Amino acid sequence: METFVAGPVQAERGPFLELSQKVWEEMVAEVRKAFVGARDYAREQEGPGRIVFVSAAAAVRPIAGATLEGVAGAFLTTAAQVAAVELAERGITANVVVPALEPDEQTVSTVVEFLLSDSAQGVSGAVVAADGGFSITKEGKPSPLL
Amino acid sequence: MGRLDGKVALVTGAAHERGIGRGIVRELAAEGARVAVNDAAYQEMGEELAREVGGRFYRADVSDRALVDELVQRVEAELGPLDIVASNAGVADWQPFVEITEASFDRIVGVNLTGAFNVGQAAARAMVAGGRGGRIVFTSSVHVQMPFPTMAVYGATKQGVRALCEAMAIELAPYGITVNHIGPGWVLSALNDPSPVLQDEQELRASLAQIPLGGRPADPREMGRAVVYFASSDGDYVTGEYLRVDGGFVVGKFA
Repeated sequence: METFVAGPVQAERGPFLELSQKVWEEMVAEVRKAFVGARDYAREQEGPGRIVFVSAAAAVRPIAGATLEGVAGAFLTTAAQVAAVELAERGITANVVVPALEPDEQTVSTVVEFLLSDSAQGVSGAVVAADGGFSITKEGKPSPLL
Repeated sequence: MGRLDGKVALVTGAAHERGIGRGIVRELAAEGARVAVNDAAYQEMGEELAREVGGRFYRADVSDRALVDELVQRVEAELGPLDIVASNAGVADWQPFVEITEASFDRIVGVNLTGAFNVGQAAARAMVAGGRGGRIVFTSSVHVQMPFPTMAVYGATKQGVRALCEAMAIELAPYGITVNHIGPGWVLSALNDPSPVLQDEQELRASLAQIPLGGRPADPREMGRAVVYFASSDGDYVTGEYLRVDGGFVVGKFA
């Protein structure tokens, strides 16, 4: 089965007041690439399929200095959920994986692989944290469980 | 005496006679604010509204950063330092996910998301420079809480606005600037005119029947009153927050 994975979203970090038009546009371009890629995949895929967007910690919980990746991840989250609803009848799922602020590759890829597998055929529109507990802590440590 | 006497406000996407922006303008003005009415089009309607509320009309497309910077400068020069900014301009298309065009993507993202960034950052910079705090309110949507088929880009831009709003709330709190968003439900605005639901009377009736409070669409002024809450002293301690004004549509979705 062919699958489609995009992300983790990456974008310039820095104070909101100082973000330039250029870094904003770069973020939009990255989101556009992921979105258009998923659309093209859904157009061409025959039979069941899998779309996974790897989002960003800041998309779930605001983090000072990480505005752009938060916006990008949030955008792709709703995009995935609308796609999930529309593509369900074709057996194509669309899900979102949320890494820690500093993503742990192993943790993220384990969850992505699950969502791409046959076992995950009944999982769609889900937002799954793969972050060592980052999203449930308030200290903002990269990965408290790792 | 109004709750916003002496305040200067800017509302984007505010000209159309059936738009949410017009409801926001009227409620801010009713509470005493001087309101700058902005829109990229509908100049006559915008000027008429501005006359009605004793404000001023400013034509500018929020997706163009240079125009937004100029807009904020002109409003501050002509009406005074900005206290309240309602970033409301929005556009939508209805297309199945696999048929969404790049042109539609660029148009919706340009106005709804880049426009929100342009207006939000230009407003925040002006408010920080003014040193008197401020209030920024975005118009997001019930789309931030539930997916609507054929509206992937629209919904995604609103989720992006939600994240933008929350990040701004954190970073701008030290300057006394609050940043919040409202979530309108069904409004029979010009934006929704092409909605497939509105092309079929039976479908529209069925859709409105899903709204627990009165089975009716919202009045744009009901959105304006939510903005007034965030903009007035009632909202002093409220930031990064979302106020849904949808007649119970989201909570009633699965009823």
